[in-house]
Amino acid sequence: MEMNNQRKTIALVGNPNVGKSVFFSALTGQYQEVSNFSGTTLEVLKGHWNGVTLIDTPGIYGLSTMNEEERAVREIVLSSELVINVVNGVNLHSDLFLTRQLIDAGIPLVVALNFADEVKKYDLEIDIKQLEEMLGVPVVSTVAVNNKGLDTLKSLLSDGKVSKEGAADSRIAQEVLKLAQEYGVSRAESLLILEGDLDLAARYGMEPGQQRDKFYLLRRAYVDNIIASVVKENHIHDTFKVKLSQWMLNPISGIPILVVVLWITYELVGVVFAQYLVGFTEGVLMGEYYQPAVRHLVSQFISPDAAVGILLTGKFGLLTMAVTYVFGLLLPLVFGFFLVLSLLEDSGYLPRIAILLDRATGYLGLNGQAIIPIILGFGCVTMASITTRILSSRRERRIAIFLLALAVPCSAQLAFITGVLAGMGPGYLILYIIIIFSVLAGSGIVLGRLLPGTTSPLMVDLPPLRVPRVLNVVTKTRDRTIDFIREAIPLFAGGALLLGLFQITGFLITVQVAMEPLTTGWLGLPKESASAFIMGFIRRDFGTVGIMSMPMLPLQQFVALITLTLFVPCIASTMVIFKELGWRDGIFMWPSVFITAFAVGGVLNRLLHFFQGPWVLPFTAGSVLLALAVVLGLSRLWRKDTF
Amino acid sequence: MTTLDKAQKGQVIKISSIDNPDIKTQAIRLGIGEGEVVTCREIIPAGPVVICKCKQEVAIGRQLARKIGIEPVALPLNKCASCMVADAKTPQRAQAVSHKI
Repeated sequence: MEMNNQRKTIALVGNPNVGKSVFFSALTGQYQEVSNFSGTTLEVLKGHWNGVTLIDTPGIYGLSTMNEEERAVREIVLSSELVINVVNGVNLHSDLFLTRQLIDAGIPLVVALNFADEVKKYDLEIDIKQLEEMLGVPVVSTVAVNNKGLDTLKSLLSDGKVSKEGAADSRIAQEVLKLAQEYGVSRAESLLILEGDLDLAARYGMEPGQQRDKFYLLRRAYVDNIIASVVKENHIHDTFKVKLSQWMLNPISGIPILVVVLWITYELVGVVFAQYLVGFTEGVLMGEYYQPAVRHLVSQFISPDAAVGILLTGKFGLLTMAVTYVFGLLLPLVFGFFLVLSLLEDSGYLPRIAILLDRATGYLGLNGQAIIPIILGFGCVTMASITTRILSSRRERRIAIFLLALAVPCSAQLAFITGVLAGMGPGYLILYIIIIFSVLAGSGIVLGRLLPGTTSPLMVDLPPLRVPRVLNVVTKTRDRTIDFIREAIPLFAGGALLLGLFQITGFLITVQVAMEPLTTGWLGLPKESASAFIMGFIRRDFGTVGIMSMPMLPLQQFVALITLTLFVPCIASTMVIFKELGWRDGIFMWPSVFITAFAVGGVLNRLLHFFQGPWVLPFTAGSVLLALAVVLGLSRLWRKDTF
Repeated sequence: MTTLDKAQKGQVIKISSIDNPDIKTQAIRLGIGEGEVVTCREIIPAGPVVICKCKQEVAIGRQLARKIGIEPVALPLNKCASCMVADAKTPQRAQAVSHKI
């Protein structure tokens, strides 16, 4: 294929977890632009190699319209000149299905048979010559993480030997060509329309075809036939990894393993990164060196009390707060989080957690995977909200982010909360845990019922467990961090500007006064506590410190603690929520959290007064659990038919 | 007809029916469509069922498993039966020592 004249496009396509991204970075060399693919919210990576545009695509099992990923990949494939189809040599059964579909679509193809090392380890023999013949396209054996086979692939691509379309199934090809000729569409479009692609059919004003089942079954038989002729299995042995996988899935051993993994994760992200490292970057680097320096520098030109001075270097200044939050707070947190996420992803453990916990989280309208962001939220809600990206549907991301924003206190706040609760005795500690857990479970149950759609039926392919490659993890973490920070900068700058304007115009004081009836009247707290809530928005732990320093009765302090825990997420989290879910959801979510927090706080205030006396704590705990039971009961009564 | 949620660990089964059209399509892609022979790898109490087709494991939620019809298949246990699809069709293999299901 000629690659000189204009920019040609090559797409990397394959099932999930086959190593497409490794090929992508190996070919393009370094970090490349991330772009949103038109018509979807999916991000795809674009890079350049040898004068060609290379596109990395999300993993899919077939080319159709089953989910957003498939739609995006379909568009990319339709507009590419060549596809590098990466397949996992160990899982040819499912991987070759997509390969055959691409061949039936008449798309020029080269197959990278990846994980050649694992194929050997499993004692499988694959006859590559025979496979090439049956597919009709070149097949290159690779171990991408070790750079093996990549040179062969590169020379194949630049030799121009891969312009060939594969050997399509003649039974399918007949109908495809007929329709293509009749309507003047491409072979690929014709195949997809025959397989019932509604979008494409509508684009050409055609009737979607009814051939999906027929073609799929023909293709399945074709793949089975290929496997029977090219794969030779010598013997089967249970390796350690297979055993480990079983231990991870069996609840008796799986739950202890999960607890240990989560504990290590929490220690790493919640303590090492969120406390020690951020303490240094935010407290020392930014607080002690950067901020005084920038204030001093700016004050040479602009008075710090002038409006512009306040906007630039005030409490919420563009150069002070925004820069500190982005580089002192967000950068180390996001790096720590992406590091853990990349490790978990590459090891293949994530889908196993999802399976282990699928049942329990099902009550909350969530997939089992949602437990990961919730746990990370105890480290930092901001970062955990980003983790919800691992969840499969938007519905599930909404629920998880709402629960994080509402009921999960971050590590900084948790430190002060435990401090206050320790002074009040174990009874209050237990009541605190019961209330927060009930709010978490209760709102999850309610959201699971209210939000349109149902928990998507679980059918996940389990990748084999693998020891993550250091280089791959580091590259992935670095690229994702850079990308995230790049997107966060304008949001934080805008937020800082807005708060600065509030401060200049005196709007902040107005809010404080306006909140007083709510704080004193409804929550029964001293009127000064209003400022603690405003502080709590800036940083959750600031608010908690504010409460600690105010003279209050134990019951008042407890109501304030609960309300502050549930109270709106801090500025950083709020911005991430807007960034992750968009303005519409963010605008709805923020007041919902606010209302829920004050509703729970107010009801708690009344309960505590109602039960006043020696039995106040057990009675209050009992009523909270009773309320949760009622919510659960009602939700089961009106249970949606799942699927 | 029994359903996948009632399978037992280690049992070799043939998928006989899948109720949901989208899931049915996805199952064909993964090689676990109607008519395929798979091994039941793991059953998480009240949770998903993990089936194995060759080296590939697929977890299926309990709700979904209730809607997938299965038939028991007699095949030797010490092999990942699902890898022997081609063989399973030959009479010789079908007569191999069966294990109690």
